[in-house]
Amino acid sequence: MLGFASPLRLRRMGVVGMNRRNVRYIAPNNARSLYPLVDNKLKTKLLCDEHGIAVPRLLGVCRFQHHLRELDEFLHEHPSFVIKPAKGSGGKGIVVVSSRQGRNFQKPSGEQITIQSIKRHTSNTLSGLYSLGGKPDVAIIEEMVQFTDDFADFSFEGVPDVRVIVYRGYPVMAMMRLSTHASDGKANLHQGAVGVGIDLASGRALQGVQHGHLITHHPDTERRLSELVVPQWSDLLELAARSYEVTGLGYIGADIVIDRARGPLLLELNARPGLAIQMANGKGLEPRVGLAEQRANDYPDGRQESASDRVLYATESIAAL
Amino acid sequence: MNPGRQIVALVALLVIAGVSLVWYKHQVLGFPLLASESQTLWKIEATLKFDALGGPVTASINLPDAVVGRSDVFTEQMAPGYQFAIVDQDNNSIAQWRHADPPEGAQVLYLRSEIFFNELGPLTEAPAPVPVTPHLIGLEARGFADARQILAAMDLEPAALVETILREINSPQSAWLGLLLRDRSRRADKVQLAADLLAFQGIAARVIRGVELIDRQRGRSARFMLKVWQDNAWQLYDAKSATALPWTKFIEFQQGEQALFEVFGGEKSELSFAVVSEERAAFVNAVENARNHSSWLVDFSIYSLPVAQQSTFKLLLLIPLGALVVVILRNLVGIRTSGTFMPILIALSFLQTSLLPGLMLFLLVVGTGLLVRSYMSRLNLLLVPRIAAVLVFVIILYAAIGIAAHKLGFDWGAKVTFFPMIILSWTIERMSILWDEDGAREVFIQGGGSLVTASVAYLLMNSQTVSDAIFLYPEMLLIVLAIIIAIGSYSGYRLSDLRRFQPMERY
Repeated sequence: MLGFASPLRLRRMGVVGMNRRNVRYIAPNNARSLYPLVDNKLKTKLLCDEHGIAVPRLLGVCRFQHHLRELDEFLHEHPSFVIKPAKGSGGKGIVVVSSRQGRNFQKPSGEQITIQSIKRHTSNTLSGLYSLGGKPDVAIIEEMVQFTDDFADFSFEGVPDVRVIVYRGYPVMAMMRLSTHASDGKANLHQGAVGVGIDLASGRALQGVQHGHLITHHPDTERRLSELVVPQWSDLLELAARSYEVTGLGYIGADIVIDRARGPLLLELNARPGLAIQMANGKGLEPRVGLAEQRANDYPDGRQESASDRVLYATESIAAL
Repeated sequence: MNPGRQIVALVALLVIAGVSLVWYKHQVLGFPLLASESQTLWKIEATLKFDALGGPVTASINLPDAVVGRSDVFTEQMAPGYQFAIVDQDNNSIAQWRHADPPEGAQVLYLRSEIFFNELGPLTEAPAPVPVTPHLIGLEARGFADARQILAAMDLEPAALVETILREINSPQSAWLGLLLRDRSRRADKVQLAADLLAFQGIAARVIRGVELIDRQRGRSARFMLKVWQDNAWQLYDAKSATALPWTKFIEFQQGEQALFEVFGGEKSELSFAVVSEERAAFVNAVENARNHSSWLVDFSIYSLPVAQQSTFKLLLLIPLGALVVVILRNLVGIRTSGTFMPILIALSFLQTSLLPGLMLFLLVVGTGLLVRSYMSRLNLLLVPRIAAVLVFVIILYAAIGIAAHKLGFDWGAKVTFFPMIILSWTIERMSILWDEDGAREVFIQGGGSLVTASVAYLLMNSQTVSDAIFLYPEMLLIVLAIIIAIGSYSGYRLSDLRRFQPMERY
C-alpha cells in the first residue's frame, strides 16, 4: 500500500515537488515585501478594484471590536453577504449568509444562525483566531457571489472555483475544485474535494481526481466530469494573467469564481499555491513553467506582452505541453 | 555571482574550513578523535559572592586536603583587585583574598580547580581515629541511651548500621530518634547526630562538607556527607541518600568544626560550586599543550570560558544538531510538524526526562490540554485569555502530575517541569484549531511528526559520542551549517512528494 514513485519517472513527467516550488519558483519570483498584498485579502481587493479587476463587491470592513455593536444594523441592508478574515488561509473562518429568516440568518445549506453567533464569529476573527500566526485581523464583509448555474450538478454544497497558476504573467495550468460530501463542502483536495484539470486552450475538463485516484463522475451528484466546461474561459484566463501586473508576484495561484451577472470574479490570490493541480491535470508543471520563463525572457527590461497576448500564448503554446 | 554559485562557494568554504580545523586540531594539536576510554577530568569552580561593607576585606575558602591518587592539575583564581595567597593554617590549606579598600557592593571571587583521579587507594590514616562521644545531660542523654539500646538490639553490620542511622535522621517522623531530632532541624546538626550515634557504638565518624562530582552542575551549595572509619579506612556516605559513595564522587572541602568559608568586612556571603566533567586523556593534554604554544585556536575557544559557562555551551552546542534533524526531516523526508522548531525544545526536555517518560508526559499534558481546550471553545473566549487559561491549566497539570507521580513512587513525574509550558500551551491551541478545521487526522499527522522529529533529535543529542565530539570539535558546527545551507537550496523531491505523486505514475 505504501508506495513511492520513482523520482526519475516524476522528473521525466516534469512534476514539481515542494522544494523545487519553494526554491525555484517562489523564492526568485515572489519578493517577500509583496506578500502582504495577497496575504491580506482586503489589500488584494482594494488593489484589484483600483486596477479594474473584477472582484466581489466590498460591503464593509469591521476593524474594531466596538464596530460589532453596529453590525446588526449594518447587515439589515444586506440580505446576503460573506464575512471573511482578511488574513485567513485555506478558507478558514468564512461565513456565507444567503438570506434572512426573520431575526436569523440562513446559510446556503439551510442552517440558521443568530446575529449573536455572527458577532461572536466576527469578534474571533478580529482577535486573530483565523489569521496566520494568530495576529489581530479585520473582518471583510462582501457581497455573496451569485454563482452561475453552469456548475450546478458538479459540486456538492460548496462553491466550485477555478484555480489558475500564473507564472510571470502567463497562465500555465488550471483546475477546477469541486467540493464533495467527503470534503465537507470545502474545496481542499487533501480533504477529499475533487480536482478537475482544465484544458488551458478550451476550458474543457481533462480528467478528475479524488484522493489521488482518477474518477469519471462526481461521487455525490453522479455528473460526468468530462461534460464540464468553464464558460467565458478566455476572460477568466485574462483576469488571472492580469493579477501579475497588479501584484508583481511572479508565481501566483489565482482563485476565480463565475458570477451569473458579472462573469469571472477574482476571489483571492495565493503566493504559495499548492502542487495538487499537477495531479488534477495528470501533468507536471515544470515544462510549462519553463516555456513561460523562456517567453518572458524574450521580452526583457520590463517590456512585456499585454495580458491578452499572454493568454493567447498560453492557449496556443503552453496548453499543448 | 548568482545566488546558486554563491551557495556552492559558501558550502565549499564552510566544509573546507570545518574539516581543516578539525584535522589541524587532531593532527597537529593532538586532540583525540573520540573522547571515550580516557580519564575523567573534573573542573570545579567555586564562586564566592558577598556584599562588601566598605573597608578592608578578607575572604577565605578552606581547600581540600591533598589525597594520594588524586591530582590537582591546575588551580587558578579570578578576583580583580584582590591579593591572593594560599596560606597554611593548622595544617589546612586556605585560599585567601585580601583587599584594603574594595568598592562597596557585590563582589564575586572565583576559584577554579581541575582534578582527576589516578588510582585512588583506601583513605587510611595512622594512627586510627578515635570515636568522639559528646558529653550529654538530661533529656539528650536519655534520647541517646534509648537510641543506643534500639541499635544494639538490631545487631547490624557496621555498613548497615550507618545506613540505618542515616535513613533515620532523614525521615521526618523517626520512631526512635524523634526526641533527638526535635532540636536538630539544621542539616549539619542532623548529620552530626549520626556521627555522635556512631561514636556511641564505638565507630569513628566525621561530618564533612564539599562538592559532589556530577557533570553539568551549576549553582550548587556545599553538601554534607559523613565519613566513617571502617575496615581501617575512611568510607564515604551520602547523608541524604544514606548510601555509600566512592571517594571518586566527592571532594572534601571541610571537616568538623572548620569553617568552609569566611568573609570579614562583607555580608550576605554565599558560596556555590559548578562542576563539569570532561574526558581527560589526550584531549586535556592537547589543550594544555596548545595553551603553552599559545595557539589561538584554543585560546579563543570554549575551553577558555569559566566552567559554569562551559557547561551551558556544552548543551547549546547540541542545538544545531537538533536543527539539522528538523531540516532533514522536513525538507528531505517531508514530515510535517506542529511549529517549526518546537520539536527541538521538546527534544531538550527529553534530555532531562529521558525518552519514554518524556513521550508519556508530553502525550498526557497535550492530550488533557486538548480536552480542556475543546470545552473552552464552547465558551467562546477571546484568543489571548483563552491561551492564558490553557497555560494556567497546563501549570496545574504539571503540579498534579508531579504530585501524583511522587505519591505513586515514580520519580520522573517531577521532570514534567522541564517541558516548556508556553510552547506546550501554544501547541495545544494550534492543535485544537487544527482539529476543528482540518480534522483529527491532521492533528495526528502533525503531532506524530513533531514527536518523531523530537525523538530523532533526542537520540542524536543524547548520544555521548556525538555530544563529546561536538564539544571537542565545535568547528564541526561549520560543517553542520554547510549541510543546512546545502539542503536549503535543494530543489529535488522530498520523500513525501514521491509518496503523494505516486498515483500520477498510473494515469
